Amino acid sequence: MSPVSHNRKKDMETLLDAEQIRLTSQVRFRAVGEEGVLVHLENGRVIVVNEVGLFLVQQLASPVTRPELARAVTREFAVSADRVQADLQLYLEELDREQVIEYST
Amino acid sequence: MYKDRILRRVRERRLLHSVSLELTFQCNLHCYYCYNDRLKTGNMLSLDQYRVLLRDLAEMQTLFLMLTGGEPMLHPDFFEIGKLAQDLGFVVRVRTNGHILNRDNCTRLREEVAPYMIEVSLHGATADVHDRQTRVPGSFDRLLKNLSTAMDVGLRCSVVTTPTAWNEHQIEEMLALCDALGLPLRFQGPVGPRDNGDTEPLALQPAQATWDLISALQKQRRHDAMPSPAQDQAADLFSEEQPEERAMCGVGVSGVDIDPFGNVQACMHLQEPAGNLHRQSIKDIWNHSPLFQQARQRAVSAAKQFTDTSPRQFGAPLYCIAVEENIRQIKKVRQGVDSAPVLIDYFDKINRV
Repeated sequence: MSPVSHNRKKDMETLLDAEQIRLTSQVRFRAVGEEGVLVHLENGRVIVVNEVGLFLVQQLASPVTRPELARAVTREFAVSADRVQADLQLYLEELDREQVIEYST
Repeated sequence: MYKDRILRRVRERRLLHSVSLELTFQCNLHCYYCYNDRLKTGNMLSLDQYRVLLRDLAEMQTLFLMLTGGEPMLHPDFFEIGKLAQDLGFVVRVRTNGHILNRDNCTRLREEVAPYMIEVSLHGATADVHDRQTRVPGSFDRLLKNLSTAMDVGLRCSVVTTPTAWNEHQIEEMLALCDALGLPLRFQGPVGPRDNGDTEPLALQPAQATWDLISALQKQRRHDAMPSPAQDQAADLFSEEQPEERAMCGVGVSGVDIDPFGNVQACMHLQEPAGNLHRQSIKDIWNHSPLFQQARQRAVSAAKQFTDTSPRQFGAPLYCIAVEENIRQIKKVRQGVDSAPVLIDYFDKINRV
């Protein structure tokens, strides 16, 4: 696996279905009740995520593709595939901005 | 959001959010006012027991793990424990005197433990003052060299100092030294009795004016330099939070201390164990011992004496119930009022020496 450097922001529009996404090794997280806390070791940032965010982060602990993520979210939260696709796109962009995730093919 | 909502939830649900592991009481310095009870004995936890403990803590969603001592890096399994902590997803902080932070150890730390922060102890702004307190000649020069190496290797470092009668004339110089190094300096105190109640260190208490100077300098610095939001978060992550109910500290609410012999305590300085990992799991101890709630209640009660005034203890702008209780306990023993077996045992050993 060869993670993409976070010196450049990932263009989510170009994210291929086969590309795997995972948390970077610089991130630690734990569940606190229904929410999650992420600590970025390198930049010191602390990020709080909601229930859906925690579920995603837990999935991203191991490499996973965007379609796999979408299916997992659909199963867990019983929402439509279209809605999940749109929300997932936004959420991954946010995690990317926070330098929390990395990609590989 | 973390402090406002998450820490509140941690406390409300009694989640074991942070754990301090005192890996060993051994040390390569000999600081005059050190609080550790070096006469405390017991069966050291084995590496296998640390493995079980850390896996249990990961299951309990404990986030923060502090490796401390004594000098934690002297523990023969320090790097194995640190590596396991990294693998299990803890945010690790290492509190060290920095004496063996050479390049090899710094590199191993970064690669095997990946700590969030290394916190080192500074005792003065010059070698004569620092070395007088550590009682190890050359420790100041070595610390500065090692700090430089640690930063060069890419470890995030911070510095902590305890104001004493021997270094209080160098408060501003210590701040200037840390500024020059580009490191934050935190003042901790007051000088407390040793954890066995020995009050000898109290002779080094600085003047209250020193704490007033520190408060004024810190206020000035906050005013002069507003940190970026990210820096602010990094600096605040381990700061003591005031729980919702007014209490002197967060004891008993969301964290524990575990000594080298497996004793689980509500606080590093409150020596009464809630249980022992040789006999119980951390889950059993955290979920069933009444000691944590009792410690919490004592912290709440102590706060009531400061409803109209700011806390003060030996001049320092805080009040630590452990300092108070350890002093009170030793006074009782000296007066023959109480028969605390541990302390009497300690006095026996001292008398024999």
